[in-house]
Amino acid sequence: MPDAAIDACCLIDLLASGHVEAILRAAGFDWHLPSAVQGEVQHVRQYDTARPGQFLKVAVDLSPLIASGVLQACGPNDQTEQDRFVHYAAQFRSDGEAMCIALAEQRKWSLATDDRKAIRVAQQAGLTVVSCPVLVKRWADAAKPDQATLCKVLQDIQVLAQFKPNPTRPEYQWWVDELAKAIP
Amino acid sequence: MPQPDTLDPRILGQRIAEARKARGKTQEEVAEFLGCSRPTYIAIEKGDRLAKTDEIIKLAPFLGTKVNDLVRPTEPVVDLQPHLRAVAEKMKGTDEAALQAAIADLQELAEDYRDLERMMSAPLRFNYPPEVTLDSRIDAAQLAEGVAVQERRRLGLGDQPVIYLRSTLEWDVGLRIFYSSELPSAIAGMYAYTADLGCCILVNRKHPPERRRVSMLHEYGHLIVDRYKPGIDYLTMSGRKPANERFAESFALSFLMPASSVRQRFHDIVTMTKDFQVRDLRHLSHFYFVSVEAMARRLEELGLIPKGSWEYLKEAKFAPKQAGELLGLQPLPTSDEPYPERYKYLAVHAYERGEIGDSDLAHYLRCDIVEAREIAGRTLTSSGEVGDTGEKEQMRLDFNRSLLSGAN
Repeated sequence: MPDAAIDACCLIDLLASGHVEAILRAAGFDWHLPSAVQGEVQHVRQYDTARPGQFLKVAVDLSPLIASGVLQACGPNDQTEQDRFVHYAAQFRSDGEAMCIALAEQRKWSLATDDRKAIRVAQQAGLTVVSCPVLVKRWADAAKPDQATLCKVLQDIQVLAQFKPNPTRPEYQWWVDELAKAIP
Repeated sequence: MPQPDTLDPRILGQRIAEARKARGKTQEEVAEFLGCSRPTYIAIEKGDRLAKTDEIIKLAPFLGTKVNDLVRPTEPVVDLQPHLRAVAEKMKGTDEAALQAAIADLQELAEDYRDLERMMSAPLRFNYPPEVTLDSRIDAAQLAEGVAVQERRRLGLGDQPVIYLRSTLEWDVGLRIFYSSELPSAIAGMYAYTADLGCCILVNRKHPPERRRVSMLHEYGHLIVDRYKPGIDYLTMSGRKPANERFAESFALSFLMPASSVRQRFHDIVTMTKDFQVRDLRHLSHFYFVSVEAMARRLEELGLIPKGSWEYLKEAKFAPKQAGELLGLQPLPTSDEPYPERYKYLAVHAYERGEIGDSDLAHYLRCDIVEAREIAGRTLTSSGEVGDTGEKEQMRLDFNRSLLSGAN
């Protein structure tokens, strides 16, 4: 299987779906989680069942995903990787994005990101970029969840992660169409 | 794009040195951690030797910072942190570690603000008042009263309460007002002036909004009376205060509660009700958005109520918050964000234009990625518009669209 690094934005979006493991497994990648990204994924939002319309901030525990091998921890090892990390760190206020791009570039991995600037910089570096909507669609195509489940996944990503796909991306129309099916 | 081998050794050295001092580490400690000699480490700080990338990556967590904080290519603001740190070191009995953390907070926020302005080509317009020189023959508090009236006039504020004080000072005067929860509770705020950024004020976020308003104006008073002298202000000061502190304190209270307006209100109440009761005091403090103590002391100072009125209320265990609830006083709008409103707009605009991404936005807005996206969505959406049907509508604002005639 090809390899891919995942950044904090994309991982937060997938965690909001409630099906992160299944989506990552269905994507067709061996996933790598750079150490700087781990530090940036601290909390996710959940619905507060006691207070409708309100949210709870819940600590993220990535250790089950790492223990099961779905995510493999990684970091810059050799001099070139460290140089490239520092090179990109000068461009991003987040070390996670810089480390993701440096490792993906040096190890010929793809990059899963929903960060607007990271997408631009990674594409300039010649990387293959995938985003949350691409990954969710792959999962939906493979697992064929019922309509209600799929709509809930998309809605949860929109509400809990405050993420909506960019209208210029090809998956945008699929996302909108699937959500529209939820409206009677 | 800067390559590691094209990092500016001088800027990198300055940033490493500032991070070390903010963390309270000695050069020996860092040299030992890196496994190099002290002279070698000093050469890195001076910019005579470029730190290797593995050293930078190792140093960042040791100094409690990110790699980006050390290698960002922009010039550090050099005349803010060291000066305030020197003031902090002289302050005995204060939690120095917390104070240093707050100074580091201010430094980082101020640099981020400057970087956003450069990114968006939107320098802050300064509209500072003229400086005032204190004279031992003139009472500093009385002088401040007059300066506050002039300053209100200059800003077109009349003598009515200024509810949106922070944004007024930020937008109309060009002050950079930040909030920090790192400041020890005994500290009200701090003030510094740099050639690059102008006036930077840090206010204690832990204090109630009424107190924060006094603190930001107190620091504003320092801009007027001792512009180039950085300072850190206690909440209360024992003993006789120096003239500049008396000026700043009186300026703040006079600005918030102009004598002409307070007298007029007081007389209106007494004329209408033939009395001035505790409830009126509470109403008045709410009207001017100040604490009951500040209001009572101002009325005492203006000779409208007897001296000692506040002390009497304090001894009687008067509870302003409960009194406000009993009187049905509605909470007034407050700004709790660590950065100025304009800073937020610049960050969201930069995000909208694609200059920064979601992770960067979260950094600039000092929150997580989800909250940053939410803030961006809220900032870019106006929900107060009324459509043709009379219903409220949500409108997405396109910041980049020109409204000038003939523009595309």
